[in-house]
Amino acid sequence: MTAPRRLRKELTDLQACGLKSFRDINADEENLLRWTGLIVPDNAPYNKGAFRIEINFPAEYPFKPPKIIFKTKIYHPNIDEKGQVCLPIISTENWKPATRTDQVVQALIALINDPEPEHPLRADLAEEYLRDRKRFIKNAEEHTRKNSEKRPTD
Amino acid sequence: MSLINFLNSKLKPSVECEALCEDGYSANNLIADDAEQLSRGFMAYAVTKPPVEIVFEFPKAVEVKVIKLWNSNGALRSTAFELHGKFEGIWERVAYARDLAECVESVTFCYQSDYNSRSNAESDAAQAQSKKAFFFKTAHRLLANASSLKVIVCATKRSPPLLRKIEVWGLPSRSLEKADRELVKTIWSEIVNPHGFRTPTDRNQRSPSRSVPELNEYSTLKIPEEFLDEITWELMIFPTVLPSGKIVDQSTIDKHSEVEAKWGRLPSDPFTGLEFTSHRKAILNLALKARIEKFLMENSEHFKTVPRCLGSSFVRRSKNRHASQFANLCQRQTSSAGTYSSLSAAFYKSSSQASATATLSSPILPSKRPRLSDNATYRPETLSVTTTTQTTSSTALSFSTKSIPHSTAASSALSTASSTAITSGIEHAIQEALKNVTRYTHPAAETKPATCIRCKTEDFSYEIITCGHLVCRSCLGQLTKDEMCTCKTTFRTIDVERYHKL
Repeated sequence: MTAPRRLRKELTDLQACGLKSFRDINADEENLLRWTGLIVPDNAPYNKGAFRIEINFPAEYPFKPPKIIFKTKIYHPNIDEKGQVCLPIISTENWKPATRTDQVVQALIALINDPEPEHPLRADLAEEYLRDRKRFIKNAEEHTRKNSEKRPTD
Repeated sequence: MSLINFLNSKLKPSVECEALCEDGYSANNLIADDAEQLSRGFMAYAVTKPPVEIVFEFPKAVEVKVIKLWNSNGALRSTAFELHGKFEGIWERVAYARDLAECVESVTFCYQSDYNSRSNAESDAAQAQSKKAFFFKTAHRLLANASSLKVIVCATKRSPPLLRKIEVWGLPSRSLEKADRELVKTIWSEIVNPHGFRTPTDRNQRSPSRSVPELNEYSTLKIPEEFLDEITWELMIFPTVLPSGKIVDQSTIDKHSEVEAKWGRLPSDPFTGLEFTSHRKAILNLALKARIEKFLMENSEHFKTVPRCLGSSFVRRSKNRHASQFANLCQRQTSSAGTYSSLSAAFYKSSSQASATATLSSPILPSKRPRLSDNATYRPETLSVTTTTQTTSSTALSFSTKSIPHSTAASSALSTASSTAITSGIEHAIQEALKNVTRYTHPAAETKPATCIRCKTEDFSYEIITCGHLVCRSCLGQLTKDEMCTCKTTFRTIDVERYHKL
């Protein structure tokens, strides 16, 4: 059972509310279950770039959580090399069908702006983040400059 | 847990008997599928002496609980039985019943422990007819995992050995795989309950059918948000109020509970995560359901299908069925019928039968047809008029080309102004007639709405039966004074009937 009505509504709502830090939201032409968007973080060291993400909704949505994949590489303790994110709000056991995608996106942006080294996906980065913040920021900035997309101008 | 009769033919038991049988009374009757064979049972050949052994084999091992034998067939009776179970290839006796009295019709073998616990279930009379016998205490190891069973008819009373019927009740043996056990139980539940009626335990859970009415693609109808499930955003069928005050469909709650159960959690409010309790639970909002159904009914033309009642499994096609379209259809039909009736009226007059019959305005009723037979020569065509008014466009078209000219000729010959639709000229007449033919492929706007014959208002409410014209109330008052319609047809007051627009 899919909920195309809910997805369509969430998509239009999200596009209409015009978040500064999450824009360029599009659903796949033939597949409403796959969305793409651009994360524009405010905090250093990611505030020099933008990050493309993909949100995949399962067929059982909203009874199963969506999955978020980073298409742009990011130097972040909570996001691994494959682009997988560890976000408690969309973990299968914590998921609530009443959770809306804009809440998920808000949570994701908050995570990017403030990494949570307590439960990392990349332990090496978490350690670096805790031990040597300066080096972490320097590395992250460099990584962002190399890999991230251009920030939208407006 | 309900016991299973393992000698039911659907559970594929097999039977073997070495003794000669009376024709039509073979041991296979005992496990037959056919009710008639089953009622005959087994009987050995007339001169056979007991003992006679009958061996039953089960495809899967059985934990035997109760065995019931019927020992008499009419006046013929077997009076002693022995039951044997097989343990490691050796037959061993597990129970016997001897010297069965005249009144005994059946023997029930069971464990003594089971019997004590449910002994008062049967009435005394039934107990007198059915003798109880117990398995030996040692029988358990044989019967708990029995794949074969031997019944020996040891003695008879002036008859060949016979066994009218046998039932072996038990459970699938515990030594079997779980899947096998479940399979046997499923088969049995299908035997007991072939139509799949739900057992009361299933009934507690509401599982509404998900035949949500779908909007047509091009429909612009906006469904009020209060009718939509706050989680799935679909139209609700069983709107249910959650403890948190949100309203969602019952199916959403069921689905959520199902997902939660995978995590070992109890059903809960999808918004707050609080578990349902006797005080804090979801309640069906019937008032809202009624409003949703009303909304659907009123806007049924926007939906592909609308169930008769939301949540019922019965869904009918709404095409051409819902009230507005239906009324529209009827109106179109009556307008064309009006033309036909006027045509026919003119035609009828031409055969100087004007006063005779009146019923052309309702030519569809077969009961009135015989009256038309006054005029034998023209009858076939008249009938063709009557029948085609109700048929579909294709036949109606062929009709109009065929018989309208005739009517036109007739009417013009008389130079009456009877039918408004027809003027001189055959082609023109055909075109005129075609306009009024109900064509389902064209929009309704093309057809002229029926009007009052005199003042042309669409607000007519009476019909003059003699000529089939429709008049409004004020005009009718004028016409009744001289008892003549505008078309010069005379009528009496009793020929006027109330006309009901659909």
